[in-house]
Amino acid sequence: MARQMKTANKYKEMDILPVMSLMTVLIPVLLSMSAFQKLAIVDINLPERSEISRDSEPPPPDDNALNLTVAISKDEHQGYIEIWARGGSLPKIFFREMWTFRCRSDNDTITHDPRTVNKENPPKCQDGRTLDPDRFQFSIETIHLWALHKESEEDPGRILMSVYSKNDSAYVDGNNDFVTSLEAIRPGSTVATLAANSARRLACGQSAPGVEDVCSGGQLAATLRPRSAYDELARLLMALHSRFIDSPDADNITIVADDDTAFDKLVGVMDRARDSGFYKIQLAKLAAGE
Amino acid sequence: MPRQPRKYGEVESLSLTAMMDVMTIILVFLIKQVDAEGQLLTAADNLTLPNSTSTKVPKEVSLGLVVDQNWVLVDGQQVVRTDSVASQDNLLVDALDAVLKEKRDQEKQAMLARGESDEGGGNVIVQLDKNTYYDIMFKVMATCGYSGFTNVAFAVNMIGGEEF
Repeated sequence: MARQMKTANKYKEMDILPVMSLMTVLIPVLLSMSAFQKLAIVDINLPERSEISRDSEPPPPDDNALNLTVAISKDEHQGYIEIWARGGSLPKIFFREMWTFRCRSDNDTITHDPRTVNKENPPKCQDGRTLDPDRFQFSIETIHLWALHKESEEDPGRILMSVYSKNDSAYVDGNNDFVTSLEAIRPGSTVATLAANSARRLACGQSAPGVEDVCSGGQLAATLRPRSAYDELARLLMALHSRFIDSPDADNITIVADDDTAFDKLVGVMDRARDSGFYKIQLAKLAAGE
Repeated sequence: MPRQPRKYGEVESLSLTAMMDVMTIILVFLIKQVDAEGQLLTAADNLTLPNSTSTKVPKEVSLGLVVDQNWVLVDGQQVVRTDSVASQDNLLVDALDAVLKEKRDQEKQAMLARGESDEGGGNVIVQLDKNTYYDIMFKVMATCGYSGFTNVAFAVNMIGGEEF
């Protein structure tokens, strides 16, 4: 066959149809393979064989060991988190548990006290519909623990408020106390969050290393809302970690919990422990039949 | 500008170049996505994992253990009902222990066949629903440790993992 002479100025378009067909196959294949939910893992050290009894004192510590234990438990009124370190215990962090549900009907969230919802009285969405009475527990999106301030054992407690940034981290001041009023958060002031070396100056409309933009659309984006007991725990743990950094077991933490503690709460506590520097996490069990 | 009348009989070919551009971008993005995942861990269907700030991702292939509302599953096989784990007093779940020991033996055999030493315990990743009680979690964990899977990790949802 004689070779065809190419005409010099006739532009011939490349035939890209086969490439297109290839892509049309490749894209669904890759789409089906990709995961849109990223999963991570939380490592733990295996549980201790011995059980810790709630009544008996923790085992006598040697002088330098920190023996840090965090317990999630509850009394007849409230749940609490208790920290034991060096054989002594810190004041309990009382909390009120709140469940946030996401309604399928209007895709909005509602927050309820678990004691006010049950099978006869399922949570009600903002559009007036109620969630499935038998299965509403499975549509809990977040379990919040609101930190409480209690004067005495009988005191029902007052909900503590705290200022949160738009990224959901609690602000603390120079003394490592929580910022409790929005007036302290304004452009020009210096605050920190619950992370190491997190002191930053606040500014509006600009962001740089050491400078945080607290505005969003020209408005202050920080909010005052109930303080999370996890944040309270993180603050105490960070203080403990920096104070007892020389202990031989400065990175160890043991978490104990009641039998009916939800896994979600444990993960919350484990997260805070790891973020505060206690990354060797052990789990133990409270002795049954208290 | 007045529209030019089209001549009859002239075949206009559809320009695919713009579509090609779009497809190429999507393709590159998807390849990147798939590559970054690694896919050593896939979420089980009927449970919600808790959210966590952990950024650690599994490095090697591990045995998958799933505890959902009804069943405890090892590698997708139903082993024991979750209710019966909750109601027993003993820390050791016998049915689970038997299955795990068998899996561990298989792992050991495979390691020896490859001529590698089997130091340390086996790896297991446990997926628990976020409303699972600590009691169940602890029993499952204790059983894993007892049957030779001493490196226990819990699967969680990475916070901010949905955005890309």
